[in-house]
Amino acid sequence: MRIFFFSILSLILPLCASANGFTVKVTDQSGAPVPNAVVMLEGANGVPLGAQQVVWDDKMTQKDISFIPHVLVVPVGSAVVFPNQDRVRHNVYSFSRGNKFQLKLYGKEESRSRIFTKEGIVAIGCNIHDQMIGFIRVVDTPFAKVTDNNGEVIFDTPEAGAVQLSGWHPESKHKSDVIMNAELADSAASITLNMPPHNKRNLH
Amino acid sequence: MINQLRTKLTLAYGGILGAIFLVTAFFVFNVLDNNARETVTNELHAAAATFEQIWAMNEVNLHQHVEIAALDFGFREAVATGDVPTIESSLSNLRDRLGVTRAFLILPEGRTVEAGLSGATNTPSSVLSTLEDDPYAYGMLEYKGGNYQGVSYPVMAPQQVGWVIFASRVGEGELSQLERLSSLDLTATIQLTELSEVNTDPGILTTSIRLNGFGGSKDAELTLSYPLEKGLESFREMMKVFGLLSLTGFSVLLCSNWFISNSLTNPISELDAATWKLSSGDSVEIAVRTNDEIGRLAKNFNRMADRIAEREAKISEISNSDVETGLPNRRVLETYIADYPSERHYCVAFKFARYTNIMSTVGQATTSRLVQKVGGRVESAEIVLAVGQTSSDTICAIIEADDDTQAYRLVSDMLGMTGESVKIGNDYIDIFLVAGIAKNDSCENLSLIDTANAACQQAMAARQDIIIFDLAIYGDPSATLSLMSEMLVALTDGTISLAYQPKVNLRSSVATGVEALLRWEHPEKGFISPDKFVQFAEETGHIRPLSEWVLGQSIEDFLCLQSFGLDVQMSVNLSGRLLTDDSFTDWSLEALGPLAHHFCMEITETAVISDPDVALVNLNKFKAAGVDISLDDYGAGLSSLTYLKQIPANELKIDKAFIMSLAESADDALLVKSTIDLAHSLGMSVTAEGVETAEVLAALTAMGADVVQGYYVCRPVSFDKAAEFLLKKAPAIEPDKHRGASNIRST
Repeated sequence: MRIFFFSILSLILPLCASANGFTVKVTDQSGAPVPNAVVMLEGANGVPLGAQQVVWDDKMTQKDISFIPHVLVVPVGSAVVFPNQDRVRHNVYSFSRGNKFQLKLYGKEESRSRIFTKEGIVAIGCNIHDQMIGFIRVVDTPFAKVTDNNGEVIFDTPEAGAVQLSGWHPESKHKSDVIMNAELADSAASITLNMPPHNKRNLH
Repeated sequence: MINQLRTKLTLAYGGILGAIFLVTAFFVFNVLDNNARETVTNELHAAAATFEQIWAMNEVNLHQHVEIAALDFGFREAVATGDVPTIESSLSNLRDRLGVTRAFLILPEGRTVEAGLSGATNTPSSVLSTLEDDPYAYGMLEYKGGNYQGVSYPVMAPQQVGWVIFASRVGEGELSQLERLSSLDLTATIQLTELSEVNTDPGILTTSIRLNGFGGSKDAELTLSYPLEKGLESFREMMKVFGLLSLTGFSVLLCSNWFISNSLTNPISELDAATWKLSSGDSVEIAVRTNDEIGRLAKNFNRMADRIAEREAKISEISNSDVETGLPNRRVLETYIADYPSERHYCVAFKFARYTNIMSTVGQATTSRLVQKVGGRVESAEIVLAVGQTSSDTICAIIEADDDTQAYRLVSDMLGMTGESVKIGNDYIDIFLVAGIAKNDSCENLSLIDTANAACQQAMAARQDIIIFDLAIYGDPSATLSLMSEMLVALTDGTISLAYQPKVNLRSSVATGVEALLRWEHPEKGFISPDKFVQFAEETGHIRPLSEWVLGQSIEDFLCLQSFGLDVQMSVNLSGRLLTDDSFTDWSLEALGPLAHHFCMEITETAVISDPDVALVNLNKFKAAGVDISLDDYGAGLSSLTYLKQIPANELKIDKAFIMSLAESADDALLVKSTIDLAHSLGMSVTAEGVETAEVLAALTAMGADVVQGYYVCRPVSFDKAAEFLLKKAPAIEPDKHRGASNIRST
């Protein structure tokens, strides 16, 4: 878990340095920040927003009988590696439409990878550990990030322009992404997700 | 009101026993009822516990099965990929293998795949919302009108992609299986409910188990019920036997009680009846049957009855006989008269004359024997029906007769035999009996016995042996009760007066004196004979005031006559009772004073006889004072020569009974003649009373009588008329001859 946080920090710190960051805060219906939410940014009316994000995390580690990170965002066509840092073996699988796969039992320090060719939500499980669950959101936008513990993401974005914001969380009650328009010039926006009560969420 | 001892006893014991039986029956019934209740309740609880256990085991079972299904990787894949035919076939497979009734898969979008049904159906929203709230739901599931025990399990692939539900039917068949589990024939019902309805029927015992609803849905209630009646059935036989036993026992006890009470109270009832009989005067004897208290009581009762009878006999003997003579007493007579009323009954009272004389001579004991013997004679007479001694000197007898004449004759015959001398010891005692006869209806104021006694008195007064009661003589006894007080009043108001009958000297034909005679003209009762009220006054002690009045009045009248210039002697009758009264003699002499020479006191021999010494002293006092003494009614009473000699009489008055028959009876004429001679020889003048005819007057004149008195000369008349007569016939006062009462004057 600590490693997970460190990796988040290493992701965020360089973004903080950017002069023109666009911050999106995801809260639940009660205004509480929602971590592990995926925020996607697109140009309004399909207009591309310019330069693609350079750095993507493409790794979903199995450690302590759980997937780290819990939610991972990758662009379409990315190959995601699933290194096993546990002493037990895992059998990672997904029945998600278009991205169905199964990585047969593999052991410690072994790694498998999988290329996700289809945009969408991939629910990752382990066949032998029912409690292990992770999500990979395969996106076709360069601007997509997972909210931190404050429920915030910061995008290093072109200077201005109207954008369309999409918000998703694996446990939200919405059947699809929550979509809203924003203006980059405002440098900040927020998305409210309808979440189940705190005590019913798997992750916080 | 219950007044029989045996009924009381029977009722009391019967009541107590009945109460005991009732109480026992009540407790037995209560115990049995409670027992039945408890048994049934226990059984119900046991059945409920069993059911709960089965329910819980079933739930665990279902849970295991559903978990296995939901975790199967292949199944999860099928669900995650939405492969409905695979899901259905997998569910069917599981359902059959695991033996559950229904197997479902619920998809989050609200579709249901069920084993045995191809294709998905819409999920009831209630089920869906339940599962969304609680993916591990379990409990009573109502699905399409049926009741199931359901358990759900989420399908994770890896996130939740649906829920598997396995459900076992809880229908009639299953409940009847549960019912069969119990030894009781109980009824199990399942009801979805908010709150169990309170069972209000006390005849049905129930117990309930709350079955939680599937997820948060409505709870259900399993009710096990059993009618108490059925529970009591097994006890019913026992109750019947007990009831029968109780009734039989009660009846037997009642009967035996009745018999025991009877045997106890029958002797008491007998005693009760006997006591009643005894109190009514009947003779009774109770049979003594036992040797116990009751037997002794009966024995003592018999003894008591005997003693009472003895005493009664004695009392009746005493009460029916005279104490001294032992003769039957008045009561016996009265009883006889009351018991045998007859129109022909006569009562005869035999009274001993001179009874006091006999008594003082021979004493009480001998007198009693005398009376006893005479009583025996009366009793033995054939005609006598009943005898009773009514007083010490009187014996009464009841006889039957057709009329007074026959009665008189019968009594007369009887008197001869009865009146013979009685031999007591070696002595003969003469007795003189007087008989009074009374008929039943002789006097309304007196009883027959009293009337006979009154007749006896009349006979004594009349100096006759036998007399039949004369109501006229008896008078009106109620009238005599107030006679004396009326007499005292009459002396002052003038209704009692003096009449005068002149005495005429035969030789000179001059009226030489008058005799003062009492007359009472009662305003209501009319003329009252002086014989009657003078005698009454003598008996009641009123003779002195009467005599004082007579003397006073005659003195007054004499003075009046004297004032007319008449020189006559005033004769006044003096009662024998007053002859022995010294004070009256003194009073009289004082009242007369110097007039004593003109007065004559007429007395009878019998007046002297009662107390001759005192009487003669008083007569001599009168004589000494100058008052003449006249011997009245000579010949009617007990004429005694001794007294004739002793009494200092100047005049002898021959009783009118001799004078009136003088002309007809030679004997009487002889008696009168000799009496006149006797008187003359003793120095007395002779006055003849009751001269009513010229022949008598002539005879008397021939015999040498001095003075006559009677209707032929002059009847007793009022003072005025007497004065008138005297003025014609009496001599005027001659200074030298004022003492001429006994002097014979020639005209």
